[in-house]
Amino acid sequence: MVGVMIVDDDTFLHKVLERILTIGGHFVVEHAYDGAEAIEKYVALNKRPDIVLMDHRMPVMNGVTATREILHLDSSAVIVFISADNTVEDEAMSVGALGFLTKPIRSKDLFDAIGKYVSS
Amino acid sequence: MLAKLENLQLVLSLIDGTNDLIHSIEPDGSFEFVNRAWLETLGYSEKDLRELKVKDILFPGYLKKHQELISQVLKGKTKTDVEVVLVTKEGDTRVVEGSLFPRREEDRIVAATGFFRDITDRRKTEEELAESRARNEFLVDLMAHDLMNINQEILSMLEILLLSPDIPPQHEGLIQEGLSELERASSLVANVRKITQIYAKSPKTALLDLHEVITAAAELADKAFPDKQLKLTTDLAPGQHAVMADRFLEDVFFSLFHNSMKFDTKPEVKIEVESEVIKHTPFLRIQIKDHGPGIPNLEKEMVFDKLSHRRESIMGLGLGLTLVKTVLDSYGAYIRVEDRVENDHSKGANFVILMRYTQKDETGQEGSQ
Repeated sequence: MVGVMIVDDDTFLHKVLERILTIGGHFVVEHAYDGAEAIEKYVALNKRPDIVLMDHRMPVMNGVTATREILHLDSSAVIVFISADNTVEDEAMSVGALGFLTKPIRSKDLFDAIGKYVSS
Repeated sequence: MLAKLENLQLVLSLIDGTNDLIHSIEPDGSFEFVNRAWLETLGYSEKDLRELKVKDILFPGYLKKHQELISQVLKGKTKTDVEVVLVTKEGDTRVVEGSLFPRREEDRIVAATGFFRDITDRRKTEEELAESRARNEFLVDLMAHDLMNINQEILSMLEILLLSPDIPPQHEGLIQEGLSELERASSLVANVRKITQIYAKSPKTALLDLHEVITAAAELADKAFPDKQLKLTTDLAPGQHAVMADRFLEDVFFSLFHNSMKFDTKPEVKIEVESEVIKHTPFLRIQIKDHGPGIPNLEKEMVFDKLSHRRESIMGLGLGLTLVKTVLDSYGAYIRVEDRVENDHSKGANFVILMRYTQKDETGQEGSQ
């Protein structure tokens, strides 16, 4: 059972991802809708999420910048991108993301990634 | 004497007959000579020329740079690839490119002579094309990004339905079909986006290990067909050949493997990848041989045709082979399709790629071929 933080500007996606994660036996500890909010909420959490599922193209602050900032504050943060913009994969990995999943992804790929990166 | 005169007349007729702009500038900036094309393009008369200085016809932003060039030419240097914007009598601008060189009389430099070609229309077309490409890329990127997000939501909803214990068994198949159609749509959108990106920008290539790229592409293609198994055999060894390519090279092999997996109905899909250095050329021949239904001769020519919508619908991979061709074109590589077994297309296809390569020698040093 893994605690997940979802960062994506698409509100409906939060709902469906949370539902899928719950079916997979996981739970959502926090939601954020842009990169700046993600940093703010990540820092404020008493218990840090086991994994952050991060979008890239968001208002206010993008996912790559937010990842860099979160890892600066907590180098043990596990951040995996779920983005429709695969052109930023190299950039995301270079700032410290552990994985990059290109939308649309199947639930199996999501669960596999959670299993792979959280256990690592 | 007569021959000299004839030669002079020939030179004068060439100068007057050309569409290139020719001028000769004296050290004080006045015009010693201009040709017919110069006068016609810039709209000045011979009379205007008496009062005109070179600074009067230069677009302000180019004045200082051009004066420096003229100064160097008057000291004996030749300048090529000079680009400058000239102002016509009507106030319009003309972009010209050419060269400047010193004109000597005996041992003395008396003027700077310039030969220029009017590239205004070409430059305008280039700018319009670049703008159009950028606009096209922006719109496709925006559309693709949002469609992928929408697809993600629909896909996740269908999966939630599928995972529900209350779903009637007769609906499961419909949902599965919906999921695979959605993935097909996503593949098409992704390929359109990639093709647009390739058209918009020159590839940023680096040396990639061919074996690594092929292995990664095969894993992805295998994963895309959970009910089948890809059996890939290759004579390529890790680190044996490096090619100048970018991240889209994986798409090339993925699309070809995916195609074979899709059309080969057997549960175990065999693909052989063979490589061979073509002696005395910079090319490596890579052959991707499958055991599927093959491609009839009549369709071989059009299989990579960008405009062959009918063929693409037959292939059903959503521009996959068009992407293959577009990527390889961008590397200066070539692809064609043959029969795996000569003259019997039904035994499978053989996609033949010719790519420039780099081979590691015994010391591990890379040598360019």
